[in-house]
Amino acid sequence: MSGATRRIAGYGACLGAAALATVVATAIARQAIPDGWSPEELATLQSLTLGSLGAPPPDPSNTYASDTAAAALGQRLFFDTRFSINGKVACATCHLPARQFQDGRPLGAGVGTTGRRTMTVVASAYSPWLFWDGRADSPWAQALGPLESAVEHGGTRSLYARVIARAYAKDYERVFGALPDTVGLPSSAGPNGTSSERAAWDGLPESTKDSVTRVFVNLGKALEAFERGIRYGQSRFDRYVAWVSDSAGAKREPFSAAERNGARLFIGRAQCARCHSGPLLTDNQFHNVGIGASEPADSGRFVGIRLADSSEFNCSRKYSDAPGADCAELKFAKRGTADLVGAFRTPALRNVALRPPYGHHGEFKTLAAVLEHYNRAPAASLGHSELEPLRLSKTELNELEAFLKTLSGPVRLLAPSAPLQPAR
Amino acid sequence: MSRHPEVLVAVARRARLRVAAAAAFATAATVAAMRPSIVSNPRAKDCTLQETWKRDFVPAESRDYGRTRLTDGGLYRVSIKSPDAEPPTGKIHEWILHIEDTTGVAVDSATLCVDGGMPEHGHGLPTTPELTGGSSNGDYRIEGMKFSMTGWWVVKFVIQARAGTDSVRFNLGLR
Repeated sequence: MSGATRRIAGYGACLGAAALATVVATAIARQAIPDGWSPEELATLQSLTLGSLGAPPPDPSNTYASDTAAAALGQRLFFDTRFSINGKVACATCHLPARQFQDGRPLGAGVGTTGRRTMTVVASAYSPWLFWDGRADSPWAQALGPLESAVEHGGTRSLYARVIARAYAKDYERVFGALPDTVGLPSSAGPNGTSSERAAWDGLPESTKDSVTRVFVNLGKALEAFERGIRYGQSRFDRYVAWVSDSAGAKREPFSAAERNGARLFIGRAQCARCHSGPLLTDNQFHNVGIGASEPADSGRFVGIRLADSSEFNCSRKYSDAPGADCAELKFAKRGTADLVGAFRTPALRNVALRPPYGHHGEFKTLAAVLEHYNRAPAASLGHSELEPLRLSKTELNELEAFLKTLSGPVRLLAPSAPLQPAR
Repeated sequence: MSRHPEVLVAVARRARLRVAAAAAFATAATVAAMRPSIVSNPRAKDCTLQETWKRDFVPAESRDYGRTRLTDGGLYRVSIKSPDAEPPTGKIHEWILHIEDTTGVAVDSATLCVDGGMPEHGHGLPTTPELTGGSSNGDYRIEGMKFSMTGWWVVKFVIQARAGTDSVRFNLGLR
């Protein structure tokens, strides 16, 4: 063998060794992630875990959102049935702590029956829009809606101001300052009440209407402070992803084959993660997915953003604590486009298996029924559904359901530390 | 939908996503009135991009993620000047867009339309971004940009300026 040939053979051997090393390194890298996840898939899974959630965004429209005294007051208000026209309905009537802060009914039941399914308040601080149609742009504005709804709490601003003055004066004033004089205030008067309640409201001086409305608004702001601390805890899914991310360091938390396949479908072929993205498994946006009966037709977000615009409690109005510049979500919200017709807020999927029924009218009794709907992708009764048929097999649908059940974990109360009990 | 005629009317009236800098446009109109029009601009009143990004499916391997792009008709060179890094997801933020002509001269007093979405998912931007203020040295501030999730997004602009109307698209691969 000549010197030149020997050199070439030597280079060849080096190249071969390098190639082999690359193959081995790749194989090791593949082996390092359990269950055969690719690095891209693992990154997607990690983006869905609570570890990537962080603190909720600030709510500049509510100065008291992170005030612990306001939260403690809000907790007591949340369970108090005196904040209703019949003395029987509290926030907790539909948002039951033992039931994921929802009621398990197809439609909410307060003084009467609502038109939509009760949404959970867990982790509501993370959403820029509240209600199925996003007609409130802050948790405090949301909390005020049911209080004045004829079919929920059924009460009025003057009734609530009188209850606050009678039962919560000291705690209220510690947080929000002096209460207005409620002596001589009508027992029940408000701009959204019955005709006699509206007439009583109209008869009040503007300054009284304003001071009573401020008490009402502060009631909502205290409720937001309480609700802001209601969060999701770690689920089996979070622990599984922690383990596959660091199989040497994290505690072993294997998935069954069905759960693993379901997770792969969820982020892949079933396209669930397109909207159910991020650590709460929601994009906080509005989509038409063909859910909803034809009667009564429900326009969803198309009307919801108009209601938010006209609400006296939105971010840009006088009862908000935010300077106008901080109301970007409201300012730049999409309005009037065809895709908003029949579109509803993507619900978070954490603890989803623990809170049937599903759909904004509680149309589906089981997760299997929901998955069947997405698999079939029927046309919407109003507007146009974004869905395409998935053509998944029965086995695959079962695997998706198995995966959804791994998203269950505890509900935690960050502050105040008192147990979640009615406080009177 | 037939039960909701008011919905249909409102959809038809507001279906176009339109972003215009009124002050800048007024300036452009004044300049145009003072000089003979160089390029007639019949689409000046038709600045619309309504969901054209939906038709722009590009396979993953041939997507150009460049931050400086020539407009489709070759009239302008457009750059995303800010944000410097990858735009955030789930958060409203602003962009600074820089527009110059093919000789590198900054283009001011343009009117912009913006629209965007995810061609693979069929949904648009969750917000209605707006061009705020006029322009300075070819820089335009677009407020209200928001991407609701990671993945492949397309953002398109229609630019109307003295040289004519042209459009440009940017691909974003958000992680």
